Amino acid sequence: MVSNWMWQQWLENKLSRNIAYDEIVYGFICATSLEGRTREEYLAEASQIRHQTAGRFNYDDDEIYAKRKTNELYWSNVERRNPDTLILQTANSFLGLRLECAQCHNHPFDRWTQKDFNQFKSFFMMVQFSDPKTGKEYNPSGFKGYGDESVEPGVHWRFKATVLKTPPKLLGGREVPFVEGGPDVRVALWEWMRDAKNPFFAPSFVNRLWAHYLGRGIVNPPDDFNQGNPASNPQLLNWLAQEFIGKKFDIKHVHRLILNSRTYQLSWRPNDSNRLDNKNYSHAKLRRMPAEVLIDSIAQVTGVEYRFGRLPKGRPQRAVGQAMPTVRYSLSRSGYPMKIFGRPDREKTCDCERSNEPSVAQALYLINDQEVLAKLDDTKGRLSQLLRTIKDDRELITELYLTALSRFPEDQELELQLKHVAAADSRDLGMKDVMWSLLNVREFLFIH
Amino acid sequence: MMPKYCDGVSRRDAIKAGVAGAFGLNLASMFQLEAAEAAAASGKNAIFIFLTGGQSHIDTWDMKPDAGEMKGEFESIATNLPELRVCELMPYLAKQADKYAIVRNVSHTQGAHSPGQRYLQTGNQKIPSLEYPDYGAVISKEHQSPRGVPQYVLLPGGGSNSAIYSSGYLGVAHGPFSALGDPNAKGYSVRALATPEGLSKKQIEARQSLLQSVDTKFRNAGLADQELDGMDKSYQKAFDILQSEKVRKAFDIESESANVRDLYGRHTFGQSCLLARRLIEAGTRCVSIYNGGWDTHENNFRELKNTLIPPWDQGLAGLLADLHDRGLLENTIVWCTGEFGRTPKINDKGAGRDHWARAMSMLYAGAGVKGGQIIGETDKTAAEPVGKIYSPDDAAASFFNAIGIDHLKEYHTPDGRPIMITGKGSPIPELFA
Repeated sequence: MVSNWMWQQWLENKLSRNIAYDEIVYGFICATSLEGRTREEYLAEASQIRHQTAGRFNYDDDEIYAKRKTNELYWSNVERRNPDTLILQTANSFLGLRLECAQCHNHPFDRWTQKDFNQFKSFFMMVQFSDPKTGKEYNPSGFKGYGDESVEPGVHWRFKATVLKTPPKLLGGREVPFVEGGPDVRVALWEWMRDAKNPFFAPSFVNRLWAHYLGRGIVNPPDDFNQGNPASNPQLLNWLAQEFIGKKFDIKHVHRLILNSRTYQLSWRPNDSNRLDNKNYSHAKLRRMPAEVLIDSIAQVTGVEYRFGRLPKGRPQRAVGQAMPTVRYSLSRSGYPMKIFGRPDREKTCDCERSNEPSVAQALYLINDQEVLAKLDDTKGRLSQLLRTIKDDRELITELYLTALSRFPEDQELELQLKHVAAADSRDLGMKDVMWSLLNVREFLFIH
Repeated sequence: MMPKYCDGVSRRDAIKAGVAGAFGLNLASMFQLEAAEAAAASGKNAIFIFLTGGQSHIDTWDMKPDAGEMKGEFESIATNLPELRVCELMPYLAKQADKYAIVRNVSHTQGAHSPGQRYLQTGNQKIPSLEYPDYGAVISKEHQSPRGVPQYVLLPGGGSNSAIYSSGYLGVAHGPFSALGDPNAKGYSVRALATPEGLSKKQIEARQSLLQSVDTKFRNAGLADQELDGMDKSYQKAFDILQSEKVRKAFDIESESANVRDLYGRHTFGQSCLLARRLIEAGTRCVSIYNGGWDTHENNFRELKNTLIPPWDQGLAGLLADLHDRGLLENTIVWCTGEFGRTPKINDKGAGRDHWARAMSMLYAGAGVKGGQIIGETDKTAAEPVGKIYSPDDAAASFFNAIGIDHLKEYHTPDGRPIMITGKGSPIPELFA
């Protein structure tokens, strides 16, 4: 049950140290349990991890798994053991390709044939579980992760000793001969991915970041690079990709490039000539905050946090960065807003799974849900505190605007709110309405 | 290009028309357009009852008295349909057999819960690259409700109930109005509508008007912005629901007479069925009731007898009788199924039955379904259909057919992929003979 946290922390560890993107990808693609160490060393590590994860979520932020160079969970998690799932996930995550069509037949509007798919798939069939003590091969379904004490903890990867009928072949590239006892073919796969000439690896990453900040990919959907779906601005995409490659896959460099650009900093206000444009970045696109951001924003404005159950030591109760395992099934507690505001299952890689679409359930939640209303009522919350400390109505309303919208109220707004407070049954109730209104205005809900 | 609607009115015109009283961007005209479309849609409604875990068919609808050790512990009883005998634990349903059809020859190969459930909830086999929408999401897209009434409502039907619903590629906008809480509990109220701790109607009105007056940003931005439009519409609908006496009354289950409440049975499932009827009366188009716990790998007979069958029998029978008496059954389909049947063989683990997708039974009633019939048959141990076989795709197509939705209708997923509602099925002809 804690593998989701091991995964999360492994990745956080790499991102926070700004490890080069190609190296992070190496950690997924070329993962081994042993990482070149002896079986004894590996077993010692595995036993330590198992010991620490024995209690549910009794798991520190500063953990052994996070420090590993590679992430074998990429290969071993339940849904990923099937080579078909692995190839789709890898192509989708790191190359921005949707190969689903080619799984069963030639891709109808792209160059990939079913043969390409099957040859590429061979890269993902070259690994095998085995017992590190005896070297005996496992059926993958026998491995249930570190939390399961019924199996040997130290399962590791090694090459299948069978020469596959279909030798691995890079997508649109060369065959990679598989030699028994020879080098890891996955390294050849990785070398091909990170090659400066690879048309997908760097472009798909910069495009994803662009889409994250601008609300729409240069190729859109951002994970659907195909010949029938060209980039809206190929020069821009190419320039970003070259910058990324030139700076040795420095992720923060791309963040800075985008955030410092004039394009990113444009206002949402359209003019007469661009008001119908939604793909050339002529003005900022208004977007509802994603589920986690919205939930954290509500918590921050009201000063009352959401509870996400027991978390690893030192983790704040915060929606962003949560490795929640079962959001989709949870109708209670904080799973409810996560679900209705469209957070996808964590297993899904497809960008289409995150929904920012508005729904009636969302509006009902913000207008009338007990969870939200309780945050306004909370005696330890921000509103209760401000009601006690700020006696002047104008000043209090101004403070609430600053808190929720990071700006001063306009004169007209101030007058309307003052009028409302004056007409309310009490100052407390009136101010509660003011704060409620600020959680429901579009200016709060939308990124602008 | 300006977006145009069916009557040639553009949204810009709609805004200029400026009917008073709507929230934020004035969308009243758009609602009128929607209402006109709704009038053209079918007047049929649906109640989908999902027995998650997989109901044992051989212990309920498809008893095999001559199956030897596979027969199980229960005897069969007569019903008001001479050719149908059902489990002795189903006395209520036995009296309503003239109203429903039992389909005994549905068969598939998805013997695990998640793929089986997605299959039976959508009429499509699960695939990794696309999530299909539940029936209710499709109905919510196709059938409109009166103003203030949610089209698709999800009710907790009791049992260990994992509400595994999804509106899939249709998006969260078509997700259900999810009524949490136990309608059998004293003082039942719905989370989203709750008033005791929530807002009074007067407060809601005051807040709505405050919000309307201060929510002035982005008024010029919306022309190319669907999200903003969608949020406006959602808020309008949400306020409508909150202000709707109809919805509030429908959920006020305690206003129902004791006789009627007793007819459905005083348990979560029975009262969920009663709520379903009340919601359909109020104008909801699809109610899904999730009744879980049927995964009887152990103590199959004890579980069925003590926990599972009696409330289900009473609630479902009460629903059919009540819908019939009120004339609602003509326009309302009731479909009750699990994700698969269970093994005829009783396992050694402890008198349990395991997953079995090759044979299962379903109940259909209402909305043009010919009641009082058994469709299909299985072999002597209820292991496989004999003769004609129907798939869950066919079962779903039948359901859509009954409520006037073309199951072959094509939608486009958010990234433009054309997908039929349930492309591989066709309606089971005997149901509508």
